[in-house]
Amino acid sequence: MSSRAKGPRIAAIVALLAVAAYVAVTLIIVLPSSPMRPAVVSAASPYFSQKWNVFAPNIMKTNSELVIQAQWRDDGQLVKSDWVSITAIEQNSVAGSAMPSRIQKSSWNAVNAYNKRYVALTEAQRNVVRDTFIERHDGGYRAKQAEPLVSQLTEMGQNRAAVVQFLRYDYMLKESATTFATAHFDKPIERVRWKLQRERPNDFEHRFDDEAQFDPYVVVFGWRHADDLIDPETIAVYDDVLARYGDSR
Amino acid sequence: MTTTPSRTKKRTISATDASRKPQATASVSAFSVSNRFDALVRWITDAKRATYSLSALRIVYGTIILAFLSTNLRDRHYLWGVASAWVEPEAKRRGWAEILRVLFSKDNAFLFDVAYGALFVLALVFLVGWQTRFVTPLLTLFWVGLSTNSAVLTNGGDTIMRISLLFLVFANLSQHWSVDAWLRRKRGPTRKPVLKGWFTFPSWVGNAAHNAAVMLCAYQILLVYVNSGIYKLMGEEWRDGTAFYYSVVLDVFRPFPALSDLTWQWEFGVYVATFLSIWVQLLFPLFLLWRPTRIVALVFILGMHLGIGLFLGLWPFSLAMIALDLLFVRDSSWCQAIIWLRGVSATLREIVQQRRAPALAQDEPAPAEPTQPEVRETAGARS
Repeated sequence: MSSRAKGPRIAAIVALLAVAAYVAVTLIIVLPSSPMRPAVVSAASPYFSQKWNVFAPNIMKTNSELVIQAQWRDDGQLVKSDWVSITAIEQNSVAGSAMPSRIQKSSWNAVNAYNKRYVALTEAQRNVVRDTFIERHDGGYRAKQAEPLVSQLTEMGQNRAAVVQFLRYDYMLKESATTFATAHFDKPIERVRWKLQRERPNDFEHRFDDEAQFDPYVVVFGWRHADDLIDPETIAVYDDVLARYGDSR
Repeated sequence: MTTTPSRTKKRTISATDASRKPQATASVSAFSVSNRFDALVRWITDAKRATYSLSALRIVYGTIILAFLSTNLRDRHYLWGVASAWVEPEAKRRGWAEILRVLFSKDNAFLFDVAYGALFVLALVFLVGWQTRFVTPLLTLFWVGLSTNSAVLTNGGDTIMRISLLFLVFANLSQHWSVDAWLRRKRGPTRKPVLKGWFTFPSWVGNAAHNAAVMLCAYQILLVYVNSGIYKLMGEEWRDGTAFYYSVVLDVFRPFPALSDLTWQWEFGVYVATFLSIWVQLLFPLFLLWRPTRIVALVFILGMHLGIGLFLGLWPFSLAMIALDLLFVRDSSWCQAIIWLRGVSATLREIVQQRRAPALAQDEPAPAEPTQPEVRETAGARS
């Protein structure tokens, strides 16, 4: 090949090498296990991280909901609210909308991610995290302190990473639930708790049955101390969402 | 040249046949490999490929982003803005560059709205194809900034658009159906660069970058299908043909509940939909190798994505996949389709005019002079 054609050759080789490199990287990412996988995933993430097993191999069969309850003081006495499903309110955006708002996935994804971290704990740890995270302090109450809680849970399972990952998500849900309850009940919220509620529609062979084939699966978590500063701008946004999507089903 | 020397040569060769044949075979084989490589080099560097498909992709991607921003407009602060600060402990641990994380502010609603508005304008400009080579990287930056600012909202559609948009920064997306193309036609091809020799590259550089983007996007879509197909094949409900039913009974994927319930009434339909979902995805790369099967595969895969959009409400994902599927339609096929459509359109216009003519003849006097037939540029001539 003449020297004039060297340029195109080099350009073509560079293009092919780029494609080959991407093919190699993605195959290592999507294939279940290889010795190089951790290093490659770390280098390619987060931009090229990808998973294409959303509806497979085991297709989702349950409707998950994040349902919250709150407490506030009325004449010095703690008052307990009804249970309210954040997910049901958010998913009022779905029916009748050809392309629903992404709000449909917010608490639905959050509660599924939370549940994944919950089931990664040991049975003994699960018993603890289903209990309250509130302790007495100076004649009143406060949230259990993070580091002692991490140590207590880690001692039970020797899995500090799993414990920290769960508690981080627990803290996030506490923040979200507190803001939601403040907007929904219009009260100074002192405590919140939530439950993961899963309902499974009948299996295919029982799809025409009137009777529900499965009982709901419910995990109730303990009270969390709502010590967050409530931002009025955030409450205004939540108020607007509640006004538009209405009450839970 | 006479035949005698070659005959002599043949005899000479036959005398030493055993020793020379492997060399000759190796030489032919090397020649063939070299030829194929040269053909590949020419394919990559001689011209930009899939220009119609990429122009269609630009329009579809622009539409997706505009529709996405519109449907989420009223929930934007709840999902990504000041009211979404609760996701930060997770969102900030995902390794995204700080510029992407701060682009859509969680502290200041006004700044967030400026960024949201900028993304809307970029998507609009991208859709119409104006200054696409500069707009595409900016659009990618803002789109990735928004879709990565939460830890609970991202889905497969965001992922496929994020990855492909980065590749498409290196491609020409405005060859057709764009303001850029319209301006090129208006100004003519003789417009000189400002500093020739400094800011111009040989055409093969641009062609190689463009075609590398095409190959990367094509590979990405095949990866999604094959990977997803293999996972499906491992699932019991996919193998027994009932998975489609489970996908349409979850509340989060029921934009039209009555329509969703209608789809699972007919058992055979559920089996067929499930079966096709697996095998069209798994066999998609093989079907692409032969034109008739390629057409069949594209028809089925487009049908599958339209179904996902309609029944599950996942339009951004579905349309992004459709846009990428179109990469497997050649420019020559687009030209044929455009010429055919123009022919159909002209015939329809003629029929309408013929039907109107008697009615008009009764009301209006005939024109003094016959009008000139319209001269139109064909798609084939342009490409």
